Amino acid sequence: MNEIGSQKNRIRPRKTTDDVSIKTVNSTSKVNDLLWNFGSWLTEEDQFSDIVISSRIRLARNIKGHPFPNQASTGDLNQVLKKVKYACEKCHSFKKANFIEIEKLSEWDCKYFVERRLASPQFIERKVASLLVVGPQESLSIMVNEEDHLRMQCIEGGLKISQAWKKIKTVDDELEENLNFSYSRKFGYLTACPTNLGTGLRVSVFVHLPALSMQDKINSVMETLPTSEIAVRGFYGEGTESIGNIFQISNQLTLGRTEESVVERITATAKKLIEIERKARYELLEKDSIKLEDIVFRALGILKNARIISSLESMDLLSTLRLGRELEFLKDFSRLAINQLMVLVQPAHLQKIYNEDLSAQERDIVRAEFIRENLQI
Amino acid sequence: MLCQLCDLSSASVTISYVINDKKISMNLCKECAEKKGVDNPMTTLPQMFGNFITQLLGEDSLKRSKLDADIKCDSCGLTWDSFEKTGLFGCDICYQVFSKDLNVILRRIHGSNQHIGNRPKSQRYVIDDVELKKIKLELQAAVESEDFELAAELRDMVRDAQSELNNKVDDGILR
Repeated sequence: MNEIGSQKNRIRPRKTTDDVSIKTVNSTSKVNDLLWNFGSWLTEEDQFSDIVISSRIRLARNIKGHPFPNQASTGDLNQVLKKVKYACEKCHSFKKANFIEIEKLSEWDCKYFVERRLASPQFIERKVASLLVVGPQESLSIMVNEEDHLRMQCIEGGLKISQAWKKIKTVDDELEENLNFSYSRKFGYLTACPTNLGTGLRVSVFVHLPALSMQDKINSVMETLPTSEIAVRGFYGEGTESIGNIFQISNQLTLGRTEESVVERITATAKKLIEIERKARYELLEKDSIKLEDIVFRALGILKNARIISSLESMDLLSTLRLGRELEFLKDFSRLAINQLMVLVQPAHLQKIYNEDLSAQERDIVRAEFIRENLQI
Repeated sequence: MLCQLCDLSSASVTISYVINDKKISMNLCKECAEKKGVDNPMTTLPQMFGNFITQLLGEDSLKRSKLDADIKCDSCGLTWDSFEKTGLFGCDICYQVFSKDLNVILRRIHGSNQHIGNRPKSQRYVIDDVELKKIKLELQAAVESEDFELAAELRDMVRDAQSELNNKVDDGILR
């Protein structure tokens, strides 16, 4: 299987793409360019990528003398927006950034940025004076006027927490040359919600744990983690089954800890989970290899032949496919391509790819079609 | 059960957080869960919001709101009541106005009420190697004499100096 980006010619948008440019403040970037230029977290991997999909660091900052967004007038918000934009333009890391005004986007374009993990659902709800700054390769980005004035983030593929921390720390220092952040010696960086107070730092790792799920061990493994420091979340649908066996591990506390200790802690936790999941995969192989192979090929069979498929079902099957690839049942499949497919089959991405306002039922049909085309070897 | 955010539709999704070994949960309807991003596997963990804070405070919150319901931030106009509803402060001045209640909240959430992480560049100390050695000795003395306030300040200075030295080693560029 090729990288998905190279397959774009296979996809036949049903209308011309002239009318889908994203309205940017100072950029001519089009949504379809962004669509196929995957961020570095979807194109780069390391020795932990068999389990870790991505690492993300987020910093919350506010600008002194302006009310936080929840109490701010539109005038206040616009002033903040101007200041941040100016500081970004002076910032080396954002030299070639896209500045995207959320207010001017269609609903599907907004959702697209959420699926791309560049915007939060709360951010696209607010809309007024909300600006998304996206640096090269979608690695560094800033949501302006979300819950705090600035929510900077850095996402990298694989387990690269300390690299991400160094990158975002540099941006923080660069922005500070032109922005006066709200800070107190006692409380640290002041944030709208006291759960982010202090460092304003949230470190997250996304891990794929299909073998532990198959062995029904997720809960017992998670219980061994220190709950007061670390939050673990699976993504659940209406039932209790997790979606795609992807779990997010992040730090719970931001006050009374140094950034470095949080980075170390989450890295160590991720490494422990990697070890346990690898062991579980090995055990499954040892115990009943043919059964595992059967599960993997059945998943592939459905993905290659289904005519209607929901987002949830496709995530679960792609998760199994990813496991099959790691266990070398499916040697021709690229890990990155499977990760990319997991992003591309989401609703807003499909809307963009097919460039049409589709109903949920129609989306399930084009999703099946899209997956079939991309899984041809 | 009704959704704890909109109070309109029936709740079908439960989000739980465990904070300092205390589990707190919220029940949301499908629509609010979607708005908060709870339903999307490739996006990120939704932050805590409103109600969670009230649950964290437990009974203290009720006593407090009766006593201090009238306290208001002069700068942004936020009341304690509204903080309890949204879990959000309105501006940096709120941290001074509500500082009495904050210590309880921060201890419950973080188990601490003193920042020890990074500081804005403008507030960092610039120290050379010789001075660093001297400060380390002073720090030791301050700890021994239990002058914790001074020790905290000296520790910050040592941290700054060391991180500055590490940076120099990392990339060879003097900043």
